[in-house]
Amino acid sequence: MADAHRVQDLLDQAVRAHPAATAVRDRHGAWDYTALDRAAHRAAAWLRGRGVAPGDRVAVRLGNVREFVALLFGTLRAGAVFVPVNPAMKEFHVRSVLADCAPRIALTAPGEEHAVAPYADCPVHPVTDLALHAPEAAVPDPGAEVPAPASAIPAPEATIPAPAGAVPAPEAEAPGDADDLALLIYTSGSTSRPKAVMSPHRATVFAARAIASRLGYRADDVVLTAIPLAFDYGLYQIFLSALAGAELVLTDADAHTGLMATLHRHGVTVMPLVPSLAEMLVRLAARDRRGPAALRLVTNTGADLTPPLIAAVRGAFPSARVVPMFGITECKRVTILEPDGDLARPRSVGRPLPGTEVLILDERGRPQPPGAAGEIVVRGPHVMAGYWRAPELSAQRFRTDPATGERVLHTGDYGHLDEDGHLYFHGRRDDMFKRRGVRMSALEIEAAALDIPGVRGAAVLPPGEGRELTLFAVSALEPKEIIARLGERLEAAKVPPHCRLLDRLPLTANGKTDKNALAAIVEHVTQGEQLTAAA
Amino acid sequence: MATPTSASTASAPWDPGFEEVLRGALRLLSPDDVLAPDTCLSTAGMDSMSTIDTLMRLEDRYDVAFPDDALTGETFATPGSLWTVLSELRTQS
Repeated sequence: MADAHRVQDLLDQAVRAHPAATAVRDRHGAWDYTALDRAAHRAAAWLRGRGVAPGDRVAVRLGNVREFVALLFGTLRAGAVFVPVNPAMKEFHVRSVLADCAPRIALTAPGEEHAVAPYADCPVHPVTDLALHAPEAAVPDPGAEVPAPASAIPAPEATIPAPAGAVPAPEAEAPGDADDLALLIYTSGSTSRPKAVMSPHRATVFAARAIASRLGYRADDVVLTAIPLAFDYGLYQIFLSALAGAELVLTDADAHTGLMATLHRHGVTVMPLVPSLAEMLVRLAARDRRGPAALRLVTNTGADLTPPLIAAVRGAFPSARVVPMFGITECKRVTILEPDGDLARPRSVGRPLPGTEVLILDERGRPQPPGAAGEIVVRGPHVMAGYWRAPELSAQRFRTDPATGERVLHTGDYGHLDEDGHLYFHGRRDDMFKRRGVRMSALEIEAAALDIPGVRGAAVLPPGEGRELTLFAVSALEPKEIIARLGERLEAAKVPPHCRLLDRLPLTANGKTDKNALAAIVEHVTQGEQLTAAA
Repeated sequence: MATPTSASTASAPWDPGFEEVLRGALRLLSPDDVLAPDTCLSTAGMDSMSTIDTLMRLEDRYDVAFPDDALTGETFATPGSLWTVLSELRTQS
């Protein structure tokens, strides 16, 4: 088991250990691990038949459906690199992503080829061309059928090797090296174009196992992934579920109104949340007339759940423990807090993954003592291989420790560690700024605003060209009152002179506050004022 | 986006309250744009959060509860599909 270093080994192990357990379910039905394994082999064979060779990129623009999972493992079994493209990605970005990764082939939902074809210099196929749901007879080796009763009587540990022989790979697989690339994951972030993090098999498997060891998904868990699989937070739910032999339930954003029905119908026990999804879930739970759902674990990363939102999640799902985490695609996950650890350490994002290290360095690269803020620097086998076709940017962020030769990731994020090694995230380098000579972060002002009873959402726009420090708040309170209350919580330099009320904060596709949209609001208003003044 | 026609305005198959709730959720629809039965709600600015807002406002206003099988993307695809489901619920209650 410990020798598995390729991502597809996770599926091989799952199908051996849990052949008849439900692996993945979408709105159209479910596959057990045996059926998923077959579909993945079918996908691999189809891709090879289309000339996909080891190292080629396969771009997949699909929502949260079973075929995504089959194509992920099928692509890797063909030795190729899986490139998820979020269906919510705008054309402008799709074009730059396809030009950048130069896929050998691209796959989309049926009828959506037009969203990719104009920008792809490769064949584009609807996923239906792979016939992943075709009858079992079409599988090269149907002898691998596992009798259904296997699920009724859990196999004792000692018998696990037996089914291994019964489920042979239908055909020879590309050997594949653990240091080969498995995934290209595009992130937006500070550069103008999306850039891809190169994720090798070994680092991806290490990260998945390290996360699994902290979160403890179980074979009887049902994991609802309503966040896009195209983001690594969603994507890794596939690996975590396979490692545990758990059931992965997939839903898309257009099914969010039915989330409570999904939770109850499938007995969902684990759910990864971003703030917008958490907010929707809390509202839906409030109108639901059934008893509380069976959720036992909710995790969060991507953007922080605010303390009021965590409290609302606890109120709606009393049996759920909450696990705040912190991650960036460049090393997948940095830290994970103990379940409900936020009660003792509000706003902490937890301790480093086992086998990894987090350092806080000042501008000159000197380690900082507990409590002192600095850049978050990460060291460990989960640090990915750099940015795809961006050597300069890679060299800035992915460096080598001069003493040990280890790869270290300079995250560009700021924070501090406490005495016990728990990390507190302060903000992106871009979010740090000085005003009246005082260094501050948007995050600390937002945290103070959220501490005011009656403020449900807060986002801070740092001062910029022709723009003062501005707070956007979601609240029934008057802006003046919010500023006055902020003055009780922050030193004067950190209190924004302007506060604007919004019905809700604009979000980017991955659920973070869209600061560009906020800047546009300020700009728009300023121009309007100038026009009024001129008239 | 639906093209404005006087006919569709005159013969809107729903009551004004329904239109008011929907317009409140469609941030990309200007007051001059006509809301037609086949207007694509997501193109007109309805995202998953405003879909949930709309659901709860309609349940309040019409004193109905949408059952699980009505909570789908299809129900919230267009004003026409949503009004059809809502009308059925009102007849039942």
